[in-house]
Amino acid sequence: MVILGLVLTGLVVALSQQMQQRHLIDTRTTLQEANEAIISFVVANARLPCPAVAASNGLESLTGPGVCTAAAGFLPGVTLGLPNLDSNGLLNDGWADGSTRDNAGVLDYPRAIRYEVALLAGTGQPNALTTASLGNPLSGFTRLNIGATLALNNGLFVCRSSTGVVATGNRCGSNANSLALNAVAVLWSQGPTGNDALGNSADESQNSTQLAAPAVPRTLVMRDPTGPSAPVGRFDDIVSWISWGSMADKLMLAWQVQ
Amino acid sequence: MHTQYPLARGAGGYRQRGAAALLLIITLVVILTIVLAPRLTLWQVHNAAGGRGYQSLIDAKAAILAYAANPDADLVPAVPARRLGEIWLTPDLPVGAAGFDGLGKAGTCATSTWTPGQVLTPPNPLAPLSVRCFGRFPWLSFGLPGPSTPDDQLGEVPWIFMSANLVVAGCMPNLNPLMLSQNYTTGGCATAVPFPWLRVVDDRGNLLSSEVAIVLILPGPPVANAQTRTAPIDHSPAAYLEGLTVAPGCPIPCVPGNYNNASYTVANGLAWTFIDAPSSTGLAPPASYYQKPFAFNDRLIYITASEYFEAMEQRARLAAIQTLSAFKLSNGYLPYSGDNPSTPFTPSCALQSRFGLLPAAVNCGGTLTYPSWYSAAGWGNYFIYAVDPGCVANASAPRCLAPSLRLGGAPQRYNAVLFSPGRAIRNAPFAASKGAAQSPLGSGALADFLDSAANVTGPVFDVAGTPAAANYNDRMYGIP
Repeated sequence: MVILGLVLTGLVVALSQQMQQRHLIDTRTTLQEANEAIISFVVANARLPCPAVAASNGLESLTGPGVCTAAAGFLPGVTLGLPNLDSNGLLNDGWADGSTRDNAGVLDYPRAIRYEVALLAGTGQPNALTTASLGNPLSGFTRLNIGATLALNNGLFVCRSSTGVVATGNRCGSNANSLALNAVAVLWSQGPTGNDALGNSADESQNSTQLAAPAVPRTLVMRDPTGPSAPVGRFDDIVSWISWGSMADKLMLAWQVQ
Repeated sequence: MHTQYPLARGAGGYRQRGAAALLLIITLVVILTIVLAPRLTLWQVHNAAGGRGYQSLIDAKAAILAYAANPDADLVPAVPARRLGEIWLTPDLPVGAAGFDGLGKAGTCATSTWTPGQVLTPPNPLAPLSVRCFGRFPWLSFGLPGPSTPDDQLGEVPWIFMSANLVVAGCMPNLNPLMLSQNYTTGGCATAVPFPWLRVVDDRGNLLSSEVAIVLILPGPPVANAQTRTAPIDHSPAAYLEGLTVAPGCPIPCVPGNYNNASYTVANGLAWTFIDAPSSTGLAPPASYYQKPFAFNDRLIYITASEYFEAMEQRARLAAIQTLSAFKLSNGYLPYSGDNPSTPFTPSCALQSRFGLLPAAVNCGGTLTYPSWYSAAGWGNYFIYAVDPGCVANASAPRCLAPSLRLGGAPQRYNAVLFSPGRAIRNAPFAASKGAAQSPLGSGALADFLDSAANVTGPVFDVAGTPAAANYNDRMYGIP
């Protein structure tokens, strides 16, 4: 019985590893499919979709044409026409277990894929990326001008670490800390721990606060996973992004903008 | 009852033996599962990493083609007037005391004698022919994922090698398929092909392509102790890329010799050769014709010059059709063609011709405004254009209402036809229109551009979508 117990324990450990690996691969596949769905949306509509919010049932949430309710929210799975959505219209990552609340009981859909878009607020082309054909070309909403606007650090940033992030310029603080400069959209999974704030590292908190009131907006972190006992704390998010270059190319191929 | 005792004793024994056998089988299955599951996990991880590796090569290829085809969407405001197809985000190499930073190096490249840390050289008209454009793919500039560690210990970021033809600025009037009508000769700005294209060979040294514009190689993990990936040693391509030797006696067809993806010291004027071979880290032993020790795990994809210019042509064609449409919207008719007869053809409309190069002058019945990146790359010397006599400035009003240009037997009539002539056909079987090698650069003959008698003497022109063949690569686009 002792031998059998040891053997079964080993079996459980091995199968657990298998399950984690499966969840990870599923999540990466999900993010890849979501990425492709957004690009297809760009080709069809000549704009990026706005994020969904908790009450929008998977539809993008707007307050006016091209004006998003929030820069960061959930991937608008219904708007994108994605399959395998949950009953809330949200696309979940590989760790989906039906939970809609985090460990503190907050209704925040911890398994749903998050999505943030560059709104270009405060620039000469506000909401251009979410407005069909980049808004009005006669007003300077061209790819040339959008590129120049993004280059002035008005896009989204993905950093290696939250240490060193700043609220101006390259928000990662340096090129060495940067993974993506001025991306137009970012989507991410919160990993196996979901929205569990206990044990979160500053890096993971940087991502999770994007939907609320981030200390440094438009800035996310992606790095190798670490456990709660690591000096840098726990991190298990998986972040993906879309560059301006790929969106600009699709807009040209769709022949919908100058 | 008497006879039941032995049966009962026998059944009990069988039960015990069966239970023992069952326990043994379960134990074996569990042990095997424990042993194999981690290996399976490792296999999955390895496969997933392999898949991501190929994906990173594909993503890099897509990103660089998208960047090259969109000079009007640059993210970096400091980019000078970049031509269609010109690459300003040149490979990432360490400059000065700095290491790799993921950023393109602003139109500058290394040379064949470059050592890490040295300044880079722009391949402009004054640059030496020793310019070699190579380095780590500038992932940060292109918006793609970067390495897990700054030194890229796992070899996750591709290395990129490109012909300096794609970087050179200030000369080369034609950065378009017209380049493919000429061979590399002496090099330099005075020639149509200032730098050699690259070569790629297969695992036995057989030529795959001698006209490669860009090579992307995924380094993968180190395969030998010599591959130290810690600064400053990590600055050398040899820390990431490998070579191999195809030994004499290899199965025919083969080309024995040394092939090294990390070597950039190829002499001026010679083609830089890369090898695409299977990894030495697979389960099977390496092929017998490789010299031992064999340690190689580079994975390679490449973009031929034809493929590259095909992607650029798509963009140029859109710009040409957009420009013609805008002209017609403004004027109510279409422009004349470039002058014909004229040797060489010019984009001027002085002769008010109706079949020649796509026009570019202001005296074409109105002003044609092409994007600067289009004109600077010489696309005006490439496209051929035919316009209906009833849809030009000197036609009687109402114009353009009864088009007569036809593509094959299709009933649709067009006011104009735009021809993509494709690369010159220089080897037999020759294009039917010319019957000899085509030479469009400096030519004043449509037969040097277009491949069939119908296209040269039409209308009626060939039907849109006529399949390409060894002696035919024209494409026709009707403009209403």
